[in-house]
Amino acid sequence: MKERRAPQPVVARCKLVLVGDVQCGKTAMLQVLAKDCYPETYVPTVFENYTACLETEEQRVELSLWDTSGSPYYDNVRPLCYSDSDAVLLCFDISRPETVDSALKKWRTEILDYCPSTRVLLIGCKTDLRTDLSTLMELSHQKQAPISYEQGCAIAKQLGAEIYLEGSAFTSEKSIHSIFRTASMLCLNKPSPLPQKSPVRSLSKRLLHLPSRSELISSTFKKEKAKSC
Amino acid sequence: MVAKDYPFYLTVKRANCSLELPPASGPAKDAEEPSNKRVKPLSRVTSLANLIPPVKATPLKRFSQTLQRSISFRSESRPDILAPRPWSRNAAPSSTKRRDSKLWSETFDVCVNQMLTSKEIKRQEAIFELSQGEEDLIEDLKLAKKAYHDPMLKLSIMTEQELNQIFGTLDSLIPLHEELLSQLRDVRKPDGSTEHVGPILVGWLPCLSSYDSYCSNQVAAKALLDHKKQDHRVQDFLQRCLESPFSRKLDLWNFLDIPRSRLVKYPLLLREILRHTPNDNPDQQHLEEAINIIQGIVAEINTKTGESECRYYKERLLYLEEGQKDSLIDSSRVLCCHGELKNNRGVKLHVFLFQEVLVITRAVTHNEQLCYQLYRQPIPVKDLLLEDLQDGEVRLGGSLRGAFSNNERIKNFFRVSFKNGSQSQTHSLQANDTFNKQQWLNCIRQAKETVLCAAGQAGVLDSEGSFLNPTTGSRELQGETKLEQMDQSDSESDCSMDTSEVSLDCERMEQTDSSCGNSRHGESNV
Repeated sequence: MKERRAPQPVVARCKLVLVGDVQCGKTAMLQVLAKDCYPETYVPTVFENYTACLETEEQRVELSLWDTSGSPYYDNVRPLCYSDSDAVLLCFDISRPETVDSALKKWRTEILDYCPSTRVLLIGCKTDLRTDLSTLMELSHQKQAPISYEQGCAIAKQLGAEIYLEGSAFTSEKSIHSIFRTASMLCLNKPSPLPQKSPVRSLSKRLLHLPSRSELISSTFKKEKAKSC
Repeated sequence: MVAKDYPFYLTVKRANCSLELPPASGPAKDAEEPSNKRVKPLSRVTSLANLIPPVKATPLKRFSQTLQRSISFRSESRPDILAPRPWSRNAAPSSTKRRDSKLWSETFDVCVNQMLTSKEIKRQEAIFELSQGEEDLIEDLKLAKKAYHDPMLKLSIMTEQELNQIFGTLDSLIPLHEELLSQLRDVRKPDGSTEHVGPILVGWLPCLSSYDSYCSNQVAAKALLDHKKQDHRVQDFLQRCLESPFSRKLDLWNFLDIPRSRLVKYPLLLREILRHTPNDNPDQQHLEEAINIIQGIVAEINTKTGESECRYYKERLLYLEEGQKDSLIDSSRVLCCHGELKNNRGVKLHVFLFQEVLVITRAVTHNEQLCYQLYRQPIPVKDLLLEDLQDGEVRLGGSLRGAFSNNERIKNFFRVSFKNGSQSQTHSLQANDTFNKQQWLNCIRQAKETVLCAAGQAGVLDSEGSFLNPTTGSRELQGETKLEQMDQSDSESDCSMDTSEVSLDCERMEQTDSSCGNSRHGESNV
């Protein structure tokens, strides 16, 4: 089974962590990516970490995907999943506008606490509910409406996320693939966060980074390290 | 909508069997499904398959190549792999070596002598998910030991002491999960269904307290593993593992993190079983008890993990003078937050906020370890003065660089100062963005409130001790306070904005206020 081949181009690796409230759609997204279809009879509660392979014309990307428990508690135990992440996908349910603002701030605070220099992408889930009659009726009783794409972009900007993406695991596998493809491209193609941010890359807070002596010395000269996956 | 799907599903699953309609209350409860988990109608899947555009032809070829490799790999490790269902999509599964996931209804033949409601099927799926998860967890823990720990020990790639630090008590967790899996299998009936799991869980969950030592060790384990990865032999070994099929392209830290990841998901798994358990089922009461048990255990482990992390950093503080040692540091058991900030001279500082004292340090390498050298005197939180500084308010001092600095560098400052008798010091600190600065301000304010509250209630502290002790309660209170402070800070910053932006912010504030109400309501439910 094991083949010896000519040296292959370097495989790019990215680690993505999905966070967000309970039942906002994180696990279903991962199920769709892994199995290429929405679970037909039962949507599992737990998603086991796994590595997906994306092929592009130029290279091969191995996406390491980490699901998290959406429980808002356990703030010392849970965040160890952020270790070494390249991007965090901050997910929310577009059909629950009343919880979006407070929930996203809470998660954003945690992300900043544990990995301030990691990219954050805002992901709107369950976009098929924008046209779901029962959802629309229920929200109109509370004088609300599902979050629109424009609103999502505004929230992303407010939170300092790099981009807003959205999709529906329920109706559009393509949109889910697009989300992960875009996320991996962002990790690979941009060596550093957007220029608006501080040009000096800060070290992770609680997750230890142990530079060698030479790296420590070079960092004192404010040499900016390009981020590699 | 969902009610329609089940007759079709049942028809497919049990040809020649008569239909059973869901109970009258079923449709009403099923109406909740769309907002949570939704089941896709099979007919739609079929029609979507027909619409696959020809563009997908290219990726399909690659998938099939990978699929062949995957099949040969799986056939070796899992001879019992199931054939795909005849009505599933024609598209090849995504290219991955992920462990094959299973559903209860796919593993056991539901047709034979079964006329189950959709709710009961979901209940069986949830129970099966719990059981299958235990099986997968055991397999991965054994893999971590046999494929990583044992070879590295035998080849002397790391010392036994180092491996014990990195792997912690992982080996002792395996028997716990084998016990649960064994009990779940014992109560499974020949047709694959399970009636009661509540009593088993109530009896088993307390043993998860053993996770305390494993989780508390993880910060140190991660630090050591990252350090050893700089060793070429370690790096080479781990790289070979990553490229081998057994690892499923997951690295060692993934396997070491599985126990923690699994632990925090038990409440979700149990709640899912409970959600599909009828009120008249005696399991319901046991499941509710089990959920309370696991929530208490995880909360306790969470607290101890936090204390362990606090200890970890205190041990790495370096004191230049004896006078810098502060009893408030020694007595601290909570690290509220910490991270990198810069002072007004551009020097990078690592700042720790313990529950009663703020410690400003510089990161240094000491004996190849990352340590934190104290920079001036620690500042007791109760004596600390905190100022939010507007952008541009701080003058960068002391060097030519200041003269050439741009606006970018004069943002996100706040000031902490301390005056007590003859001692006095002031620090202007810069965060790397607005959100980070806001977080520091909130954490410091929260710590000050906590200290002042404790001081003010010194006389009645004992009587309220029982209230303060519950970890979950204090967590929620802190969370709420932090949220309110965040809102307050937002309103303060609104003053400097344009009128049009102010109106938008007002709308957002209203939404936030309703969110606060909702979160309080949620808390009362808890």
